[in-house]
This record gives sequence, C-alpha cells and structure tokens, in this order.
Amino acid sequence: MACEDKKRGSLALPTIQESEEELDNVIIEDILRSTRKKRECRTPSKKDSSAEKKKSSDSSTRKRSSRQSAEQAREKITTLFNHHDDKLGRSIYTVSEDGLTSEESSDAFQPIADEEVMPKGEYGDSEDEEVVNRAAELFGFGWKTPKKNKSTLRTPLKTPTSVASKQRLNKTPNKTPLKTPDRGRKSTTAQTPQTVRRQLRNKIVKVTSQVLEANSDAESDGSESDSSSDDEENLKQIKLKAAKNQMDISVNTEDYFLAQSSAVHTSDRTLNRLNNPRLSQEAVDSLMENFDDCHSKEKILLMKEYQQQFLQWFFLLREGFNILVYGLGSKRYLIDEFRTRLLDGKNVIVVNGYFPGLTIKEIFNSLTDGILEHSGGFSSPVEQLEFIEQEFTNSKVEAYIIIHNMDGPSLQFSREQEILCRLAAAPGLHVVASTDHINTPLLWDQRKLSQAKFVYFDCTTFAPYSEEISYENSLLVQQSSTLGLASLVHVFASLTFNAKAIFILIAQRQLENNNDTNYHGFPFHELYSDCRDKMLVNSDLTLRAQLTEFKDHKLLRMRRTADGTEVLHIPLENNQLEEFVQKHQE
Amino acid sequence: MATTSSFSKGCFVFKANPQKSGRSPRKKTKKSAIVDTNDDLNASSLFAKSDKSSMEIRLDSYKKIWSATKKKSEEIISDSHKQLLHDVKTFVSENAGTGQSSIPTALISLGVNLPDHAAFFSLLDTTLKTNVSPFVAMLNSKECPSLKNMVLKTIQKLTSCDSIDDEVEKDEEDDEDDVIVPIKPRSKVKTFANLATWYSNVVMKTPLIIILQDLESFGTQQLQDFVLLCRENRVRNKLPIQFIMGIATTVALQQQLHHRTSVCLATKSFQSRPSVVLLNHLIEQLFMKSSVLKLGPRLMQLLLDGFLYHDLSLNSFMMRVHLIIMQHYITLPVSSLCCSVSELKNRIKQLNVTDLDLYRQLPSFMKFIEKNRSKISLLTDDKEFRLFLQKSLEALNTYSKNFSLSCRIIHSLSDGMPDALFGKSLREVYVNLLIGGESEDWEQFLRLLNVSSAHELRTRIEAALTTLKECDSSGSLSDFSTSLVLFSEELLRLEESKKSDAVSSPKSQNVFVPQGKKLDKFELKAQLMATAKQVRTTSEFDEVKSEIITWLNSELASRLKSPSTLVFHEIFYAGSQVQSNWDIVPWMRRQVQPVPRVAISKALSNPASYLGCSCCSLTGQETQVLSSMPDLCIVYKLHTECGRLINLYDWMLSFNAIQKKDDEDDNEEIEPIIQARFIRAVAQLQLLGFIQSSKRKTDHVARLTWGV
Repeated sequence: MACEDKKRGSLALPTIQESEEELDNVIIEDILRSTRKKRECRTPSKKDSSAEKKKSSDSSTRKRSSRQSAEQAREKITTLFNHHDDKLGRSIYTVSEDGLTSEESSDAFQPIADEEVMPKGEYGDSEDEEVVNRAAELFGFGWKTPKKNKSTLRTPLKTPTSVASKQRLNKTPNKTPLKTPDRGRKSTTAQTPQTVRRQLRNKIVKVTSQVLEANSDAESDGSESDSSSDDEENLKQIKLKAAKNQMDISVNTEDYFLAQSSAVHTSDRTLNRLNNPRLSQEAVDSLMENFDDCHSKEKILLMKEYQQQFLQWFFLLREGFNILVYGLGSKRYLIDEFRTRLLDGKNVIVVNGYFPGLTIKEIFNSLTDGILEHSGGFSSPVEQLEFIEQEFTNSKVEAYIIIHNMDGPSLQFSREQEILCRLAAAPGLHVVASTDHINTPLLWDQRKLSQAKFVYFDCTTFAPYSEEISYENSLLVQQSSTLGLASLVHVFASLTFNAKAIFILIAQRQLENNNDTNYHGFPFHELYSDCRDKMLVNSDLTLRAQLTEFKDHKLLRMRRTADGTEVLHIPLENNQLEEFVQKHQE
Repeated sequence: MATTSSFSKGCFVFKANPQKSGRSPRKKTKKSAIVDTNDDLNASSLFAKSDKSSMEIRLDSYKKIWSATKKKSEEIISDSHKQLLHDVKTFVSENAGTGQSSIPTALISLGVNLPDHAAFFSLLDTTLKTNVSPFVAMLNSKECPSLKNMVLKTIQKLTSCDSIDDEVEKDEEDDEDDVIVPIKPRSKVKTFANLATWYSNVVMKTPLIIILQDLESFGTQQLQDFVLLCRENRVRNKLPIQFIMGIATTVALQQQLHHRTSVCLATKSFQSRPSVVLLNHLIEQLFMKSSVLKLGPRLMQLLLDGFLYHDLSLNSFMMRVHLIIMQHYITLPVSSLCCSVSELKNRIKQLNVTDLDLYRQLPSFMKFIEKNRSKISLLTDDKEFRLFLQKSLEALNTYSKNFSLSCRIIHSLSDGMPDALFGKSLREVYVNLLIGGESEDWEQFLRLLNVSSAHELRTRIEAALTTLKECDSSGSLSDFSTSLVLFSEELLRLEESKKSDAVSSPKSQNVFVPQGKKLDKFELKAQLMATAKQVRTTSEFDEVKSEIITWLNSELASRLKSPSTLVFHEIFYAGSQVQSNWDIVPWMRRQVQPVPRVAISKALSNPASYLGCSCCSLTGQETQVLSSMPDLCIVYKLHTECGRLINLYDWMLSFNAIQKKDDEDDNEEIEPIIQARFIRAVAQLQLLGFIQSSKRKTDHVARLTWGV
C-alpha cells in the first residue's frame, strides 16, 4: 500500500530534474498545447486502408440511405444503423480474419452492454453472471468474440433514442449510459464454441474474485482515520475531510495504449442540426442568469468552511510561506474574499492569470511603479526583476501578490513560472495563487517548488468559472464563430466600397463551391483579373494592400496550394458566410 | 475595494496608504511596526479554544522553538560542509598562479538535491571571499541565457566587489534623506580586455574565481565558448581565472564539453556528503537530543517518505519541519505546556480550569484513567491533577531522553548484525523503535546475541559503553552503565581464563574424523545423533550470556517502548493520535504529497464527496451519472466514455437526455437553457485541460486525457 501511495504522489506532482529542463519545456508545451500535428502526420496502416477501400463504395450509399430514413423516422435510426452495422460487419469479417485485430482493443475500451451480448440465464447460474459482469467492467473486456464490424457509425457516445430513454427513469442506468442496444450482436456471439466460453468464464470468475478481494482490502485500509466528535456540524466536517483524505484514484497505464490504439469512431452529425446552432455569449449569459443551481446551499457551506482557513493563510504568509489553492471550481471569489477581509489597507497586487494579454512586464511594472513608486526606467526585465528582489529583501516594504490562475494562458511557460517563483521567494513578497489546469504540476521542477515554498490548500468550490472562461478566445465553435461574424461586421463597416466588393467576391465564390471538397480557396490571379474586370483595383499591389486589411483581422487566410498558386479562403462556417452575404445584399 | 476584472488589463495595484508614501525611512519603519502588531492580533484569533494568555504563550513558544531549530539546522549543515569547503579552498589557493595554461577547475558533485545547493554555494562564496580572494563571480544558468549575458555577468560580478567600498562610504554620507538607492552606475568594464586592464590596476593579485552553480543546465555551446574565452585570456592577459563547477548528476564532463575544450581544464573532483547522511545527522541532532518538541511516529514516517522517495532535499525537509512546529502549536490547544522542564511548573500554575479540562480530554489520559480506576479523582480535583500533570510531564521528559540513549545503545549493540534488524544508521534505529518496531525484531536480536562469541559480545558491549559515555552527560543511565561495565569485565575475565585453558587442555575430540578407522555413512549418522542427544554442559560463558540477555530484556526493553504508550505524550510528540480536529497529520500529508489533479478528478467523478449532499451520492460505480449532479460533472462523465475525439452534437444530446425530466418525451429538441449550460460546462472542461478544440472534424473536440 505504502509503495503505491508513493507512486501516486509522485504521479500527481512529478519532480523534474533540472538538467533536463530544456526537454521538459518542450514536453510541457506539447502537453498544454496540441498534439494534433502528430495525429495528422499519422498515415493509415495498410490493413486499414484495404479494409476501407472495400467498404467505402457501399458505405457511401448506405450513409445516404440512412440519412433519408433518419429524416423520415428518427426513432428507427439506431435499428437501421445497427442493421447496417451487422451487414457491414460480416462483409468485413472476411478481411479481419487475416489480422484486423485493432478492433479488439477498441472494444476493450468500450465494453458493450453485457446483457445484450450474453443474455441472462443462457449459460451458468446468475451468481456467476454477476461476477462476470463485474469482471467485464474491471478488465474492460466484454463477454464476446472478437468483434468485426468496423463502422463509422458506432459512436462511443451514442445518441439516445426512444429505446434508451424509455429505460431511463430519473436516473440513467448504471453502466455505459446512452448506449443504444445493438441487436446484431447476438448472432456474432454464437461463433465461439461453448466450451471455450465456459473455460474463459471460469477463469474470469476466479481472477475477479481475487481482484475484488484485493480491492476491498485496499478500501478498508484507506478508511482508517478519524472518529468521535461532539456536535453535528463537526461530524459533518470530519466526514467531508475524511472523504477528501482518501483519494484513491488509481491510474491504469494500459488505458493509455488502449485509447491510442483504437480508431476514432464518431458520428458525422454537426451542431447545424440544432434549431439555433450558435448561441451568442450574451444569450448564454442571460440564459444562465435564470438558471438556479440545486447545490447552492452546499456550495455556500463549502465556501464558509474554506473561509475559516483565512487566518491560517494569513499567518502562513507572515511566516514566509506562500499559499497555493487548488481544486475544482473558481477560486476567484474565495481569494477576493480573503483580500477584502485580511489584506485591506496593505500593498496588494492582483494578477489575473487568465487574462490573455497579461505579460510578466506588467507585473513588474505594477510592483516598481505601483508599490515601490520607483521613477527610473530599466534597461531590461532582468534588471527590473533584480531591483524588485533587492527592494523586497532589504527594505521593510511588503506586498501581497494574488495570482488568479497561475497556470493561465500567458503564465503557463517555464520562464514565467521561474520568475513568479523567484518573486515568491523574496521575503517581502507574499503570494496567494490558484491553479486549475490538470497538468500544472508539470510546470514546476524541484528548484521552483523549493523557491516558492507553497503551502497547498484543497479548495474545491464548484463555483462556475464564469470570469475565467469569458476571455478564452478558442471557446469552442459556439463562441469563436459568433465572435468571428461580429468582428467581420465591424471591420466590414469601416471599409471602402472597393474593399467590400472584393471581399464579397471571395465570399460568393466560396459559397458557390460550398459542396466541392477540392475547393481550397479563390486563386489570387483569378481574383485579380475579376477585380480588374470590375474596375475594383488597378494593380496587383493595390489588391494585396486591400487584402492585408482582412488578413490583419484574421478574416481572410492566404496559403499556397500544392501547385504553387496562392489561394484565398475565408475561415468562417458556410452558413454564417451565407448569412453575412445575404445581410450585405439587403 | 475596486473590482479586479477588466477587459484591458490583467494587473491591479492596491497601495497600502492613500497619502503619499513616506520619503523618510523613519516613517516607514513606524508604519511597519504598526502593521506587525496588527498581524499579531490577527494571528492570535487563529488559535481556537483558548484564552489570550495561553495563546500568547503558544505563539511565543512556537517562535522560540522554530528559531532555535532553524539555527541549529543551519549550524549542522554548515558544519557538515566544513571539510569540503576546506578542500576546495586549499585547491583554489594552491593553484593561484598563472603558470599553467590550462584553467584549474574544481568539480564538485553535490547530488540531485538542487534546492540545497544554494546554501552550500553561499557558504563557499563567503569562505572564498574572506580567505582566498575577493574576486568571486557566482553564476547560475538562469542568469545567463546567452554567452553575452554570461560574460557581462561574470565581469560585472568580478569587478563589483572592488566598488563595494566606495559605495558603502557614499551610503554613509547621504542615506539620511534618500532611501531609494540609486541604481549602480553601470560599470565601464564590459569586455575581457577591459577586465585585463582593470586587473592590472588592482592591488591584490588574487585569483579570479568563477563559480558555475549548475553545470548541466548551461547550454553546451555556450559553455564551450565561455571556457575557451577564459582560457584565451588566462594565457594571453595573464588573468588568473579559476573555475568551480557544481554538478548534480554523474554526467561526465566529456558529455558536456568537447574534447577540445575539456583539455583546457585541469580538473579535480570533489564530492559532497550525500544528503541522506546529512539527514541522519540532522534528525539525530534535532530530535534525539534534548529538543522540546519531537516528531511522532506518523509524522516522522511521512517526512522520511517525502525525503527518501520524493526530493532528497534538506531544504524541503526543514520547511516541512517548520510547518509541523507551527501546526503543532496552533492547532493543539494543549501545546502551551510543550516547553522545557524548567518552565513547566510555572506554566502549569497559570492554567485555568478550562485549560485543565482540555488536558483531561487527551486520549492518552482517558486511557490511563480507564486502566486505573482508583485515580478517578483526577478528573474532578484540579489541584491533584496539576500535580499529576507535572509529574507525568517530567517523567515523559526523562523517558524521551532515555529513549534516545537506549536507541544509541541498541544501535551500537546491533551494529553489523545480519539483516540490519533495527536499521543500519542510528536514524533508522530511532525511527523503527519510535514507530514501535515489531517484537520479532527484538527477539531475533536477542537470539543473535545469544549465539555470538564471547569476544564479539564483549566488543559490542564496549561499543555501547563508549556511546553511553559520549552522550550521557547527565548520568541518568549511570546504573545502566555500571552493569554494562560489570558484564564486560566478566566477559574479559572469562576470555582470558579460556585462553589459559586452551593452552593447558588438549585439543577437544573431533567428532567427525575419529582417529584410525574410516566411518561409513550410517555409522557417522548414528554417531552424530548420539552427540546431539548428549546434554550440553553449560559453560560459565553461557551463564553470563543468558544473564546479560535477561538483563537486557528487562532493562532496555522497558525503556524502548513506543512513546504512544505514555500518558500525555500528545503534548511533546507532534502528530500523535489525538482528537480528529486537532490532528495535523492529514494536513501535513497534503503538504508533502499535494495532489491537485486527484482532487479535481475526485470532485468531478464523485461530487458528493465534497458537496456532502445526499442527492449525488454514488451507489457503487464511479461511472454512474445522476441528473442531480452539477453540469460540469455530468459533462465530464459523459466525456470519459469517449475516445480521442468527441462529437459535440452527440455529447449535447446525451447531456440533454440526462437532464430531461419526463421520460416519455421523445423528441430531440434541445432547450436553449440546456444548450447554454452545456456550452458553459464544455468551456470549463477546456479550461481545466481535459479537452481541446479540434479541427480534424467539424464540431468535434479532442480529448486530452485517457481512462476514467
């Protein structure tokens, strides 16, 4: 047990060797940013492509037919799809026999509903059944023969249909909710001989019982703490604390490989199927205002509990420690409360780490100009930092730095963290910081941690991150696209007639080629000739100058195709573009 | 206070005093004094369940004990570096000349505990500056991102000590009316050529020492260029440059430097003591000697785990000790009596009735009363209780002294035994016995003593005697040592008599090879059986041995019982089992092993564990989704069922399906409020780093984690 704990501890907060820092930076940035490129580079394996080829011809017709049927009768979608699944499955099975095994692992990651695959009472008694089911969940493989159907329609997140929703009362069923029952599976299960299945089952029952025993042991071990108290409130708090203490979240490293090896299957549906696919930020805000949260009472209790720690925080800060607050939910209100209650009338700097335009220079300036009232300039940030360190070490000035989201978009880099930790190490500077991103601990190596002298507090508030996410510009399609349209309208309004006409030309061409998948954009030379014909520009250079305006506002993207021609593309969804063009024509 | 959210800036300043900040230093100090008193008041309200006087006492003792501990630990650490510092110093002064063309370089391997290196280097800096040369430039890789910076920093630091004298004088002149120290005038010396001319004007021709604190973190190319540059100047301009490089890992210098460069260095390597040795030393000095506050077994284990399996850093160890001392005095209301014996009497006098009741609530006292029903009057009679308190606390004090002494004795007695029963180092012995090591170990220890030879036994006892003499200055274990002396004398006498016996008596009969005839297998077996059956005659030595062992078993074992068996041990042993709201161990565990990610996952997958509501409590599986859970949790749970890509539309439909109240409603129409809630939740999930927008497919997001 102890050993395992240690592993977990280090997993949660890995210390990074200083000597590998270069490498670490790369890794961290990779993690925090994107792994998309890697995926794009990956080419499909030979086996897959051969299977794909066979499938592609008939799957396209099937898709079309299925779409029609979906429009006619939505209730039947899943049945139909499953029907196709089945057919498809069989046709591919012939291929899979010579080694399309990656399917198995994808199955393992997505255990299918056990009842469907193995109807109760068919084999063995029900007692065994239960154990097997539990085993299936534990080990992640269902009771089934290797699966063959490779269909693009098998979404992990099955859209619930009438069948699913009828089973559901207020609660959703325990295992894998929202899964449409697959009818076709029963026939495939019959393909493994019974004897083999029986042997397998016995084996699983044995292993499961062992594992379950071990699990229960571990649980009883974990719950050794805390008992006896007087009043009810105390008891409740203790219960809460006890729950917090035994955080036994195990990590199964196998899951990673399973997740990586499985092919991605998602449905092709888009948000356009909604009545109102794009809600504006204002609309979301106004809707959320009316929404009342059923846990507000508990949240207030949690908040109160954390507020009792304020004095301790303050004491710790005075003793030269710094405070780091983590846990789910926005900690802004909590820390602001701390500031207003205990830091009133002291030197305080509030840094909003979630603010995208924040720079480390801004923090330096607030310290030197705002707190120290230093009039001179600095030749470099390093010099400024040294000045700050010196001032807060030698003179008696003190200041509190409050950092909301220490892992915010502009602070999540090694250099920034280094500087923040150096600031935290100065005796006159006291830092209260909060973190939210799950990979934040990777930012800190041993040296930074020991400089920062953090005392950790788990403040899970469940409060909404409304302020923090309001800045995030990549907030999924909903917001980003509405913003795009809004900015387009604004920029457009300030343009000359000619520029407007040019943009409309590009937009119309893009809409005309709406369904052409090979359309990459409006070739530049064609645009030029079109514009000249319409007397919009008189030279290549003026056209480029006009386009720069759009490019600067990210309303237009210019790139080169494979044959070297420059093409222009408007990075907006077609329906929005259409809307815009229509508006303009009115 | 004003709001702190804005669309145009991310930094907000709240200045302490609205009026113009004082230009005079006096004003400032006054102000900070006021602040200090305020803070103390604030801190005072922190102490729960006690009146003002007791709280002041506790705060006071915390400050005293921590500063004492800190001072001691610093002394210990600087002591332990003494030898190394001396070696480096001699190396530097031996190679002071510029005779050889290669640069004399001291390579100091310091181990992976990087945070501790700063302490060593600052010691090194002061040692070198006072003893060898004032021209020391200490660099770390963070200050020198490029070669240019590196050279500038080096030269600036080398020449700065020269100008210090002037500055001090200047400061003395005008520090009355100007607090803000003017930025140092930029030094004119900016290149090595300048440095050479500067050096030619310097009176003291002592070496120029450049210390590179973390060799591994410098860029390879940068380092090579720097070394070549320095060597060039050493040869051409006769600058006596020397290097001192700190190494954390065992990486060979060849990896870092090209052969071309490494030949320019005349290296000698030094090795610091491993940090584990230092830790042992620290624990022996801080907690086994007469310290007031000791670490209880649970906390000791926790700290050691943090040290041995996590960072190996003494710095963090001391930080945790600091936290423990602080928490002990703050959270434990009974800690006001955690003081030295001399103060005890006075403090007990000061206790009022409510305070006494707090002491009566201690689990160890309750246990004691349950066992001794006759002493039940202690619960009501305050006067008697005060006396009892004093007596038991004094007893506790002598106990802990004896305990650590006994640990030393055990350590010297068991040293070199197979299996290292109680641990190899004294620290291990101490911790093992503190935790209340298994009785098996003790029995095994006695058994091993029983089979040891007279000579071995005697050396062990003598070793124990020497340790006793070294440590026991007060003589509290004098009777113990006298019996040990007696035993060793007895053994010595026996040995000598045996020797004389061995000379006189003929060689004992060899069972296995009887003279004359050869034995076959069966005869040998029979003979062996016969000898085994023979009753061994107990020699005089055996008698003495058994006497020693019975004595050890009674005397030593009684002193080695775990502190948790004593009454009122909670006061002196931090982190002992007390009432749960006074228990600091869970809190400390969170400090040693903080688990931010686990906390988030836990809150998402089982919100009831934090909210404490009955509506969301899970009935078994972690993957269960309940409609009453917060939106974020539902969206999170749905997303864990997906692979690497998630279709937003389907995701939203599933969310809708869970939120729908009436089950016969089949349409997939999504209400705007549901949509808004979903959008919110997804955005929050993105902020937490679970998902990321993806361009691979329309209206899809990429999942960044795996598993559940």
